[in-house]
Amino acid sequence: MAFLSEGEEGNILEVRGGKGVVQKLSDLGLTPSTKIKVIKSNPPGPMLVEVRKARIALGRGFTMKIMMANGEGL
Amino acid sequence: MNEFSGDKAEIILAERRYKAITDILESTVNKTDENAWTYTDLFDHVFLHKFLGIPIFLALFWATFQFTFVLSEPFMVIIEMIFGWLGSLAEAGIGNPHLASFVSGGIIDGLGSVLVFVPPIFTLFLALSILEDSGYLARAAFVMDRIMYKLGLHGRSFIPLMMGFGCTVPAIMATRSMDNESDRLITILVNPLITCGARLPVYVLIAGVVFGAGQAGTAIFSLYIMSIALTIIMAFTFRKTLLKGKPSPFILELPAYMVPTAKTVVLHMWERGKVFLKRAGTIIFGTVIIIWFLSMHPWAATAGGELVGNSYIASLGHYIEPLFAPFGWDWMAAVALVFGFLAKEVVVATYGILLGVGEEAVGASLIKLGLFTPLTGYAFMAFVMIYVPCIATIGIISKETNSYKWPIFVTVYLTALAFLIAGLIIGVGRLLGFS
Amino acid sequence: MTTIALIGNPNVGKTELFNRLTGLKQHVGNWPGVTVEKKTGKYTNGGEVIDVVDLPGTYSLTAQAKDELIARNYLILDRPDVVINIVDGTKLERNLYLTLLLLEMEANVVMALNRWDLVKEKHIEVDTNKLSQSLGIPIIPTVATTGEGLEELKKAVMKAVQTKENRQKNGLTYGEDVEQAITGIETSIKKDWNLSKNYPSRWLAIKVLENDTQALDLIKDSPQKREIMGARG
Repeated sequence: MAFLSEGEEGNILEVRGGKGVVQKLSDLGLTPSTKIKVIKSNPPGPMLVEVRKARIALGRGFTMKIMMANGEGL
Repeated sequence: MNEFSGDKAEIILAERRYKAITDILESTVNKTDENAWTYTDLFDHVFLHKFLGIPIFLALFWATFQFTFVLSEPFMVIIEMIFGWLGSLAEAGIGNPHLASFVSGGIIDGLGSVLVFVPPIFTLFLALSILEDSGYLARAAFVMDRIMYKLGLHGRSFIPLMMGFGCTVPAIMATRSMDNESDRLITILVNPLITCGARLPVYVLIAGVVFGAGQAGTAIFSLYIMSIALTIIMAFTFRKTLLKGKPSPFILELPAYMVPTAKTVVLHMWERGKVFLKRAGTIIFGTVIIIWFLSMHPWAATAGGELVGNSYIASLGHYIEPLFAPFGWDWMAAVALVFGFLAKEVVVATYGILLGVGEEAVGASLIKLGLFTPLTGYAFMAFVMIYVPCIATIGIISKETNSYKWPIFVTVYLTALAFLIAGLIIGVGRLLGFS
Repeated sequence: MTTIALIGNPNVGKTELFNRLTGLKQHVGNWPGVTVEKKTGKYTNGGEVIDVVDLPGTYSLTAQAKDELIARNYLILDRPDVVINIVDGTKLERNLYLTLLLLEMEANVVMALNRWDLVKEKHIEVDTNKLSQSLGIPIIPTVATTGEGLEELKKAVMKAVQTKENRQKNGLTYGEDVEQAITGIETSIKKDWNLSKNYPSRWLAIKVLENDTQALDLIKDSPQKREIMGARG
């Protein structure tokens, strides 16, 4: 997911990482096939994405672990 | 069933729950104007702007302080007047000079010089509550995370640190929202460096005395900057030494902007302000009485409090004085600092009692007695800012870390740092030719 | 003595609702052994005193986070008579996740569908009857900031207390394959009388399936452990 730009949308392919990371993201709705829209992205700061109608800020630590369906990382 | 082994099961279950939710919502909720730009989008576009985000935050931060001081000033004046009037009333009305001194010089003067700062502290909490309840504070955390990450701090520690400008005690309590223990510990360890509301009376007093009304504001502002700089430096240091590693990944929901209701904001302000009042009512008041006693006795020697130089407190002060002499501070400063350990506001209260004057006139007395020069005064303010957290803070650190070692560590490192910085200020100042 | 718990995502207006319900008769302390704030209060309704426990605002109820574990343990072990699940009506999709978790725990849930004023403003049409049927719980629209819906909420809570034993079942399933796995584990759990007495078996089965650390710990001394883990696969 880390590589998407502002305004881009996409579907999550998979979430990698340890149990804690995966659980946290899944519970917030970041599951495979979920649609994401990137609202703000100013690296190295966190990204702001819209998922399931909520706005969630994700640091690079998380976005690097979210793989998007179109082949790019979030 | 083997497809459910390992971590996959959690993800699958989460997916299925959301699927059930989507199915339910599909048949029960119908939303029109899906893509309308809401004001949340608009505000975020500005507040989270790549280049404008941080300047906007700094501007709001500055505005918060302006709001606090401007709004609270008239109230402070009123309180000063009331206590001054009560003091003279007590002195005139109470027959027994000993009792009169106790009521007027001890209770009224001492407590008054502390309560006079209730307006700024409450207005600061009010401002912070508004920022928090409106949803802006989450945006500020977002904007600042970039920088904070580089400094070894977690973006989430931003809110507790901001609260430290009001009072360290609730600020440290606010670190509970941080799940990562290292991040949380670092935040707790550096939080006392954020200059809290209790130190403000000291700055206002001393800066007013040595820099005059015109430049006092600038001097105080520089102290705030110093506080932030030190917080950053120490956080960085801790991250590199004691608590190695990187801050845990940032994740925060940005709630929709809401116009905060007056009721909720006031309730929040009151919840936090209450903590300050409780301290003022108990620790500070208790300390003030002790100081009064020590400064008025032996009663005969001090001729009913006139000759403070003969009191117990003076003896104590002279005993410690050598420790602070290199900084150009006298025994009264030494005593004020010792009692300031209990609660920083007490530094001012102590002077009120030692100089035997009402709150209004402490400043004038200090000027007349020439106890501080701009250099020694500035160093003194810096020392007060950094040294030893107040006893309530030590208490809360112990509670929040479930240990005795951390509060002790904090006390030691802060005192050492205070001596270091004050020393540096004096040293550099003397080199530059100041006295 | 009736006790109810208040739970919901952060930022949904839970604090306002709690304040509305309990007025200033609140008490703030700590959950034993941890630095998580415990807020309690009371209110009277129809002559009866209701104790209210404000649980930490969370998105989920995993065994991983301190505050989530506290909420979970309170719900599972203390079994409050009613759980008011406060939900932000403008963020239903994500908020309902917690609701589902509560239903898995077989909590006696009453939903306060908060921010109802915003829901109307944004032209979101919610068929509360249908939603109520799908979830199997009463749904009360509320506006915590003004107090709207509060009386209906209190009434719904009273009714829920009275009908605690005869709740309607909801028809929520998580897909045939998952349900099969859950049932398999559940069957084994039910053979352990101790476990099934203390914990809702379906909930425990789901947790075991998810490799939940607390659940695994709960079954580790069970005579059925091997069978349970076997069913898990």
